[in-house]
Amino acid sequence: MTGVEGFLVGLGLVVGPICAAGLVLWPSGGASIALLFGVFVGAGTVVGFGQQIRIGAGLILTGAICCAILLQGFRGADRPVTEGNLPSGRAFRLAAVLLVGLAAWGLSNPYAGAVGPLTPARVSSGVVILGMALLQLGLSQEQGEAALGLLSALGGFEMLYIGLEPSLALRAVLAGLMLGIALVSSILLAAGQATAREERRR
Amino acid sequence: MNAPLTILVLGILLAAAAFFLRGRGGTAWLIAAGGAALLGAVALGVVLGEPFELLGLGVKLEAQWIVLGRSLVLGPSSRRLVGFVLTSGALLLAAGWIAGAPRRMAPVGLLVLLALAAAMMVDPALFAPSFVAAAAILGCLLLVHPGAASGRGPSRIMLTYTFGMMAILLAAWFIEVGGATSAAEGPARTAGATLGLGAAILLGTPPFHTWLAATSDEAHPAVFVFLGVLLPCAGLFLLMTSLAGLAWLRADPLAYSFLRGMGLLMVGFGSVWCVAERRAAHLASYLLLIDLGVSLLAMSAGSPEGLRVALGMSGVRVLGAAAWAAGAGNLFAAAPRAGEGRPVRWSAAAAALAGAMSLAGTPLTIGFPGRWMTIAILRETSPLAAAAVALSMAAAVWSVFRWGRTLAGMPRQLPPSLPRARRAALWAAAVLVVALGVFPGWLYAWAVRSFAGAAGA
Repeated sequence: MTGVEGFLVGLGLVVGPICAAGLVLWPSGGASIALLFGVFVGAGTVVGFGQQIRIGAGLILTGAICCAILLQGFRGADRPVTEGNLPSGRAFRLAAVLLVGLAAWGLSNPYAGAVGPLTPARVSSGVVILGMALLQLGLSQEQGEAALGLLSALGGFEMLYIGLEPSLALRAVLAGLMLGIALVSSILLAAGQATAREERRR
Repeated sequence: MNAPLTILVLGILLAAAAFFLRGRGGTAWLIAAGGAALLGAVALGVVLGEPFELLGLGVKLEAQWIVLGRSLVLGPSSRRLVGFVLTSGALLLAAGWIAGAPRRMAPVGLLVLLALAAAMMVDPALFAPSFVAAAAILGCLLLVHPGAASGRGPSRIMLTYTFGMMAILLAAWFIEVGGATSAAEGPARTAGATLGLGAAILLGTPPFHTWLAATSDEAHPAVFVFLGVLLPCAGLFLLMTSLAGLAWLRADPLAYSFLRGMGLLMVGFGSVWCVAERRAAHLASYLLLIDLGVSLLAMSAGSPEGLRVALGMSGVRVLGAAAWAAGAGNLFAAAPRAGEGRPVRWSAAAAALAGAMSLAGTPLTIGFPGRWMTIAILRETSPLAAAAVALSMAAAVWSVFRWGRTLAGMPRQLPPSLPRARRAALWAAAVLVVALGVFPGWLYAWAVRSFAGAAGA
């Protein structure tokens, strides 16, 4: 790995978790799509420059298509209302992000050296992304936010799992799953928006 | 040519045909249900590796399809599971037709079945959850209600099956790389625990069962039953094939204790919720939970008999659930009578009640023998589990009878009622569930024979 590649891998290791944390703080609208793409760019950069450039590029391309599909689903949608009794203000989310981020980093760090060929930094970064995605999924059950959280979790999972099992067939199936989640979520969101428009017209 | 690719391509063509003909009444349903049954028969009966003649053409089908370094295999044991999934799906699609389910269930349901069939064929089996997750995501399309916002069901299904897949894929890596040969070794313990977690998620063990109740609320009864029976069933088969394929896991008593714990959790919580629940759809979801739990308890005995009972119960569950869905979809006439509530169609009530009674394990229905055999198997090795099965049966049967009493108190639908063919199908479903329960030897003997060799049974 050259110095530039090492720098890019390091950048990807930081960008992925930061974007995943951003998704928890800004879970709706165009910003959330950009942040989700950031997670995929981070994961793809780590995989591409740390392992195989074509697999990394494939992951970024999958993320881009998923984001484009979700953007269509989100277009014209009202800001989702987060149901439940949990406080959902940005200050609460920021505190939760810091706590979960620290917990994920702390939990992954002692075992990071023992997970196959993965570097400790990559393990920590992947686990933090997964932790952030789980936090987002726990904070809301709204379809759009759930799709963002799930795709973010899959991005983090891929960052880790490609290092363990670089099978092309599995990459293809997982890419198909990500596209499926984006597509089905967009269809569900579109059905909900049609209802909302109908109600407003009445 | 190879059999897995042939089945998948034929299935996709049939699903496309069902999609384009979905506006033509029963044609789409006939294509989907008939096609699934036909593909199931092909999976069970096709000659593999030897040339044979088809419509005057010489054909030779290989059992294996290698794609991007992984393979789908229609082997001696997997073909039984593929055949089971496809024929069960055909029955549930037929129930959807009778129940008046949304027409998109025909093409989408067939695609879900193909994804599950691919999961049964993938080698090594531990990579199957990615196809099960694909089936679950496709299944969410059945929960789209044009003109209504989606509820929590789709997001919970996606969440559950995606995370279940992740856990089992990690277990697969632990097993492949760790090269586990003894349960006492560290990597094998980690692999076993991760696999157990993944299986618990895929099977809907509490607290991962919430998608079942949410889906029962939001979906048409036939759609709910289609997903609620087939998705956990794929998890169960994955568990069975893992036990059959991993000698170190099979030899570990902790694995069977874990299965027993999962089963007890499902049976215990399911029973309590059954008693507390009065809504029919929720009741059905908890009956399914208990039924799955009893299957796990049968498996936890660690004997071939237990495995066969669990497999037999999987077939019986499909029959009971199909009868319930066909009945529940037709239960109420559209217009309520003033001051009297919604009138009930009796033919539909008979099918729904017979199906629910079978799922509850009521004596003289097809659901009873499986529970009886489970109690007999567990009586010596685990009296607590045997008692839990008996108690869960009592709770479930009482809940179903309570629901039946509520239905009996509702006004009866006067003619014009359902079309004659649909009424006949509903009565036939009710009679079949009871008749097979009176003579259980027919179905169980057949199930045990057909499953012999599948998943290590």
